[in-house]
Amino acid sequence: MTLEEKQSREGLLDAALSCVHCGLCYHTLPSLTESERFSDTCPAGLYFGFDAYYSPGRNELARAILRGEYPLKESKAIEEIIFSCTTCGACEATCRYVNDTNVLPVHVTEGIRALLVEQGVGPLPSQKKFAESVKKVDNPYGESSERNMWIEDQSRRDKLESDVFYFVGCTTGYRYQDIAKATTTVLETTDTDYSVSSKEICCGSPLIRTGQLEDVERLVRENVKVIQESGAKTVIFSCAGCYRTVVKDWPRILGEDLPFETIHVTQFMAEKMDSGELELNEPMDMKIAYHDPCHLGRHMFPNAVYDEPRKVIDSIPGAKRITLDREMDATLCCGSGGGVKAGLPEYAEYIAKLRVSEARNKGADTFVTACPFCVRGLEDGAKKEASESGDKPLEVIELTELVRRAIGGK
Amino acid sequence: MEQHVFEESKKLLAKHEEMEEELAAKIVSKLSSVIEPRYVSRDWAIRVAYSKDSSGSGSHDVNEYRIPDIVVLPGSAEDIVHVCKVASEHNVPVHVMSTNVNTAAMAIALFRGIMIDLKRMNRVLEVDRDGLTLTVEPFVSYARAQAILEPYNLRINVPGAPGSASVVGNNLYAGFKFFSGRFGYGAMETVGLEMVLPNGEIVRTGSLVNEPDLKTKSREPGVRNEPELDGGRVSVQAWGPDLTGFPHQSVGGNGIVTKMCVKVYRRPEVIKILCHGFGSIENSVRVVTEAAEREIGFGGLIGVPEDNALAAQHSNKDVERVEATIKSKLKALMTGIKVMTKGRKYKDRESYQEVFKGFLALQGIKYVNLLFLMGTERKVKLDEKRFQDVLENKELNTEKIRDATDYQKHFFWPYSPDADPESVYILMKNSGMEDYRYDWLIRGGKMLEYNEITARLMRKKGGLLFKSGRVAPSRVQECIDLFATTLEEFYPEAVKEHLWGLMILPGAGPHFACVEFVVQIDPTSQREKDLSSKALREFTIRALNQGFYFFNHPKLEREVLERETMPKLWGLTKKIRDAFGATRLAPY
Ligand SMILES: Cc1cc2nc3c(=O)[nH]c(=O)nc-3n(C[C@H](O)[C@H](O)[C@H](O)COP(=O)(O)OP(=O)(O)OC[C@H]3O[C@@H](n4cnc5c(N)ncnc54)[C@H](O)[C@@H]3O)c2cc1C
Ligand code: SF4
Ligand code: SF4
Repeated sequence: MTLEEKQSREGLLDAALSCVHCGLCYHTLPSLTESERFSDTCPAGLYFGFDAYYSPGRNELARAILRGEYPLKESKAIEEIIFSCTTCGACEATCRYVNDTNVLPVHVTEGIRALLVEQGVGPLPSQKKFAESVKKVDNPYGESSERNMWIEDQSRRDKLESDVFYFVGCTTGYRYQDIAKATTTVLETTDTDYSVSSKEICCGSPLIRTGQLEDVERLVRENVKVIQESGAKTVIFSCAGCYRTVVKDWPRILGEDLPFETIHVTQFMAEKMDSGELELNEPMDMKIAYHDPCHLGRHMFPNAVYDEPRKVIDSIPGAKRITLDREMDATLCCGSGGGVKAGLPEYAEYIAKLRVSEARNKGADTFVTACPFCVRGLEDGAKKEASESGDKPLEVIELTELVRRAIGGK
Repeated sequence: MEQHVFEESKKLLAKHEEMEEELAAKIVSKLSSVIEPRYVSRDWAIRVAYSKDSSGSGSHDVNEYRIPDIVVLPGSAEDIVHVCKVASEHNVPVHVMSTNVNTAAMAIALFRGIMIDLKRMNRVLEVDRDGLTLTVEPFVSYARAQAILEPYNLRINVPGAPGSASVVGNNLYAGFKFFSGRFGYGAMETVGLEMVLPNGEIVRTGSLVNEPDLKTKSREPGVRNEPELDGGRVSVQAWGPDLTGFPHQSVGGNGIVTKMCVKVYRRPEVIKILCHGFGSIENSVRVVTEAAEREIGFGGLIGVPEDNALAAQHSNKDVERVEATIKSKLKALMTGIKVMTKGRKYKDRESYQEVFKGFLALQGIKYVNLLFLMGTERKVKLDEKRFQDVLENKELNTEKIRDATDYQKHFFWPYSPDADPESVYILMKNSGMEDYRYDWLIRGGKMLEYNEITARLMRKKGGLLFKSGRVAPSRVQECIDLFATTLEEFYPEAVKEHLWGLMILPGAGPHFACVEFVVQIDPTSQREKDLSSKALREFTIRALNQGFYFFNHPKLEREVLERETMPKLWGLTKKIRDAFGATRLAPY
């Protein structure tokens, strides 16, 4: 079944109408946060304020769109409302605790986005560019250089019959190569037989999240072919967004199970630490707060990756992990998800700043996360927070990079 | 009478047409001259979000979703004064909502006009640890209020509504709460407020009369400050002639409350919950009344599905039949669980009913009825022995309560750090919430979790219609009979085919019982919706006329109903409103 069929009007309406307006998702559940001060978890709602930006209100808007209650073109706000949801899933997580699983706010938002795009409403201008670039050069950044040239050991590129295929992803491969290199350091330190591919292309995440579905199936099928041709049985990811897309979206697009195993690098590291193949010996005097990427946590329900990254951080000698008020299912999104960083940068930065202030408030000096996209959002948030508070910006670092330091790399 | 109310309400609705574009533009521009333009909207995509509340419908009987013409998010009482003035100038209705968790279209813009959404007014202003008060703005939920109070070892009296319901909205609605038995209902716990009167005047009453400046805190989105502590409040409702009661129970019609000071309490050391089944409704009523008379903190719940006590009384169903149905329900339960765990939507009526029945069975409502009590041990000693005697001496059907005694064991849940999480977990499991994180239940001993459970139940209920009200304890049975006969008259199938039941909560001590009737309908059937709301409407009228106060009738019918059944109160309200040069604060 195609994604379009899955997200049929009927299916979406069903989900939207299942919302009972209990309002519990306006804030996170009190049981999930340590403090009332940090109980806001819907970035769109808290920033824009009207009910339409929160899940219950957006569900009614979805209903009105699906039933054609008002002419789309007569609304100026519709684009901002629908495309400002970071699809962080905080509302969905709350809803899941208290209600049934029928209300799927993220599913509704993404479905409505696709529907609107089809009808010429949205996406936001800079989000449109993703799709154009993907069409042209198979990545949303418009990069035409060959993939994964950064790798030091060139024999790994397009190596056949290795055990593990490292799916680098566009953001890591083109924008955060240090994360890619740190990941390969982890793989090499653990004597893993791995390869990267010059033929890997965008996983489809930026398109799916912004309702631009036209090219998605092609991307998925081509990628699957590339992975299968490599002969690897397991695919490892350092990008939470790619991981979520491959694990959750690809099978529904393909209409069948994935022909390979998947693992996120944080899980991989935790496993290797258990088996003694990865040791973190370099002491680090840091007060670390960990930010759960939405795509690694709430989106992966019921297999959220919450413990593994914490376990890795806790094994670094000298490092102290600080618990934030909003963690795991209650995490406040970094503000970058769902195409928001590109589409509504000011708002994304505001939310990231709030998140950074929370870490600062708890006494952290380092903000660690496990997704290149969150790194980008939080770095901007840290700068903004510092410019307002006059303090030095909080250091934001990706977990594999921290691990590289902890195993003695630079 | 029923037809008359319906027709009159429809006429009232028809009077309010959509606003002309030109007028709307003028009003938007006037509002935006004082309120930040980003917080004023005429866009349909913004407005349409205000078309539904927790009742699952936008306007109860009306097959249309009513939406406001303009929405505004004020940041202060002064902003609201401006809205009132502009509305008054153009003779436009004004509606207001705090969290919109009500279940009677009370905050829906039935008469169109301007919707004041209070979401930006979300600050917890003060905790007074000596005066035992909490001062909040409207968009502060019970969940947040309780979280703020936790560290000070204080608690707020919470209703059975989801933890998202606002303290302000609920007290205005005269909230019925877990500890109403001891502390009274919501309106009795309001000790002062700040409101904008219909004529645009700001008035402060009771404990907020001498309000120190509580305005200094940030209104930046997502930024919250700690509340002030110990403003030296005197926890009284009246400093002389008093208007505190005026906005209560007026569904936003008499004034817009912008701050409220409410009573809070020192946290009791122990709370115990007791749950028991009974062989007859009289017995459970007796125990519930006993609990009320002895002012044991919290009331009780009696659930009666179709095939037992009530239905048995009125449809001559015998005990064997009840037993047989229980068995079939248990079977249905298994189906229900399957449907639930697969997360499928209950599309057809049958599977929906199966799930519902199964769910009731899981709730322990497979027994004739069920008592749910919660007592505090601090102020009132819950005399277990005495209570046990009451239970045992009153012809309990012990066979049927086998599992219920099991429940009881688990329901005796010590409210202390050495609470036994396992038994709570088993309880939750038995209640069909196996994936519910049981540590919530014991963490800090919050009442909030219960609210979350309620929301969860509500989700599962889907097609349940409620009617709740207040009744003198001695007249509970009379009220039940009235309900049963009205239902039989207007919607006979409901008695025979549908699940219906009631809950009784003993209310403000011995003063009244809160009685709630529930009728299950197929949410997709218009006919069932029509028939049941007809029956419920007529019941409300009859009940009001007989001195039972059933209050959560839809906003739409409120004016007509009150005029008919409470002419004195209605007339007086009108006089005061006129004295304020009332604008168009809906619903009047
Ligand atoms: C599952 C469930 C269970 C419930 N159980 C209970 C229960 O046990 N006990 C109980 O008491 N209630 C119960 N309720 C009802 C619910 O608690 C109340 O409707 C709710 O607390 C009202 O608060 P609100 O903020 O949601 O008000 P809203 O829904 O926003 O408004 C309710 C009414 O008050 C008016 N209003 C709101 N704010 C203001 C203001 N600032 N100034 C003037 N007027 C205002 C509105 O115009 C509207 O007419 C339950 C509801 C649900 C969904
Ligand atoms: S997914 Fe996140 S941003 Fe979107 S409505 Fe839910 S909580 Fe808000
Ligand atoms: S999305 Fe879920 S939690 Fe939020 S209001 Fe709707 S039903 Fe409640």
